[in-house]
Amino acid sequence: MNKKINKIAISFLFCIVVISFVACSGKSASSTSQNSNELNNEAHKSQNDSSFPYTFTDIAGRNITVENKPETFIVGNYILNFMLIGGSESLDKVVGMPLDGWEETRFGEYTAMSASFPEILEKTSIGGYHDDILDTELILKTKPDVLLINLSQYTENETSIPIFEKAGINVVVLDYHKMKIENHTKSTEILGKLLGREEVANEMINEYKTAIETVQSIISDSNQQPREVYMELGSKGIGEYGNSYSGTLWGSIIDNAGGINIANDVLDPNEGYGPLDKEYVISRNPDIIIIGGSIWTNYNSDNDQMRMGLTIKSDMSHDRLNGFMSREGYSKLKAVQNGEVYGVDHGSLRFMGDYVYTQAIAKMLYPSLFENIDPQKNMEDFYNKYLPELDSTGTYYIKWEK
Amino acid sequence: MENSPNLLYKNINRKRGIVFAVSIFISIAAFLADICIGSSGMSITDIIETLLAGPNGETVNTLIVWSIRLPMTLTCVFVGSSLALSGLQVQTITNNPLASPYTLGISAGASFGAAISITFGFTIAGVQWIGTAILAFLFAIAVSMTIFFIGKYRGLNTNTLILTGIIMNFFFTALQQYLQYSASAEVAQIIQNWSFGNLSRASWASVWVSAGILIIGFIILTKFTWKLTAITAGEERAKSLGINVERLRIYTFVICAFLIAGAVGFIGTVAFVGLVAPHCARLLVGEDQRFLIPVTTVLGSLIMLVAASTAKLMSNGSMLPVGIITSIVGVPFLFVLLMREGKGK
Repeated sequence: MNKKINKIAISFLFCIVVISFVACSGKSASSTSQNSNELNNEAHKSQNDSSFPYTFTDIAGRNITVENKPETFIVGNYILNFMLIGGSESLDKVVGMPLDGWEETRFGEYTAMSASFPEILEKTSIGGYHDDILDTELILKTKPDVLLINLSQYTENETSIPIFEKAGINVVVLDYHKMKIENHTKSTEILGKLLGREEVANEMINEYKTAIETVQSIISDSNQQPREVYMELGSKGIGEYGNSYSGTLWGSIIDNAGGINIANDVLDPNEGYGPLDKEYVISRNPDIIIIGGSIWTNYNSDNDQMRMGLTIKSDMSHDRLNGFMSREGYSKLKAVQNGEVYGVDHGSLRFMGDYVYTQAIAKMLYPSLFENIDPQKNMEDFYNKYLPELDSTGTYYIKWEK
Repeated sequence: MENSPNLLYKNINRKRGIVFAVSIFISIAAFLADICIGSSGMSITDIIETLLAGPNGETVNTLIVWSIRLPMTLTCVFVGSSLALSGLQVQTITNNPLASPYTLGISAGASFGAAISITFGFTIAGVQWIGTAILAFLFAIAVSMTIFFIGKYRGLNTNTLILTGIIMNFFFTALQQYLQYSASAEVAQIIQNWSFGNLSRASWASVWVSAGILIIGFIILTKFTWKLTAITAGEERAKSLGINVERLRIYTFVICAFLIAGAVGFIGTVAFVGLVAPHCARLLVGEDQRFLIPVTTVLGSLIMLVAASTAKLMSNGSMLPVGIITSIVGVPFLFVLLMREGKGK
């Protein structure tokens, strides 16, 4: 009897351990780096470009002088912004980028970019996508002219940066995460200079600024009353409320577009985020509900998270949005009764095309003032203009159909 | 003179009865207070009117009271009770005052189950939270059973049980950290938040499941009261009274596994309630399980209710996880208890 129980016990334990390991190992797929063709940096440097040496202050406030026009880059973050400014040929200058966790973190971007530019997956992976920790040794070995990183990678790797600089690598900190107009435009300006595409960068900056200024002046010229918005990231599915934002990401866009963000009264007004209380949302009975989508977990899963962005078909987005609107009690909310419910793409923030969401939210808040704006089309146009080689099929903006 | 031991016994029991009645009374007060607290700032008269009007009203108030506050408060009661009751019995059968769902790693197992579901998008009928709750539930049961069978392999030595639990805790915590590390920032945050224990996940489903398991568990355990009391006086003694100690441990452990899984599966892990409530109850009514079981159960729900109300008052519009508050409230409780115990010795 005892032996039998022992056998059961051991096989049971074995099963648990196996299940656990299988579950974990399934996740650690695609991060192996492949050594790219190492370029001889010195030989490729062009000495004659008139705009170099280029002296500037980066987003971390560091003074940098790049002596010669850079020919090789490691793009620690913002590969999409990099290519939108540099064009498809700029990918040839990329000798390394983080491939670890790219697929898991931004599935849409990963799928679209690797389909349109298959060679991107052959770049040396230098780590740091999901945990910001860069592979110092590999970067030194690859020795690019410029290493582009974002603010959090800068913080995590502060001790390695003097080493890179000693090795003659120009470290440049960019930022599109904070969703500040000045950081967006400054980062774009720097990329334009480094890539020798100042005209494109300036055009992009003008487009960005003009779009936002136009929205704001139209709203301030009208005498319409601002309305209340509840924005939620649909990452937790319909059963639990996902994050709302105040003063950052969607929070700052709602502020820019002249809306009253109900999260502002609850979350830290400077860069606050977190789920709001169900009771609070229902008792505020907002005029407009926005659900942010993306592809967070397992593309093939038939789950109930909001899906939006590159590669996503609009039927799916509508289905998922319907799920959110079937939440208990939502049918009694003003926004739902009036059909003022929208889906937006969370993955389309943090790049130069995200001004489309200032237009989109302004359109939600003041439909009569922005009748002619079509956010879905504007986003498609943006991609087609700056990176036509990328298959940018996707769903960026939907209005709920009752 | 002959009657005095009897009289003494009666007096003690009367005292225990009073303790039980008072704790029920305070819990009811806490229950009502918890229903009255919420971010919409409804007045008490509105709440009473809405409660009396029943769940079928069309107003926003009906929605708030019947679909949000009541399921939250009731889940709170049943989860607190289940954790406390299982904590008590795990302590009893392992004869170790430090045993609890948390210290035995059962909560860590549930968290890992939830993390798998969140990472891989495991759903039931396309709904994420049901998938997460079910995987968390299954992992809690699986970990409990593993601890138990390994313990059994070593003849149910109490030290082995506890050590296995601690090992499980480290093992599943590490696995969960691995998933969290590899996930995107958004997903990592969801995994982490799950392990905090948040009543915003409460629903009528969580009420019925946790209540069902608690009621069945409670009824079965009350049938074992004398045997469980005997076990606290020592294993040899219990055996000499004709109790099949091993079988008693098996039954009790299985019930505890279900109680814990039902409690943490829906709302996430909640620390300290399972550890502190039994100790408080023991100080108040002693080792007699006839009183210890009901008082522990009531105190468990009381601690959860106080923590939940505190969380609601502190968050005001956003949702502070109750699991964080139970630990903060629990630490001074346990500290005072430890000091008192030290003095007593």
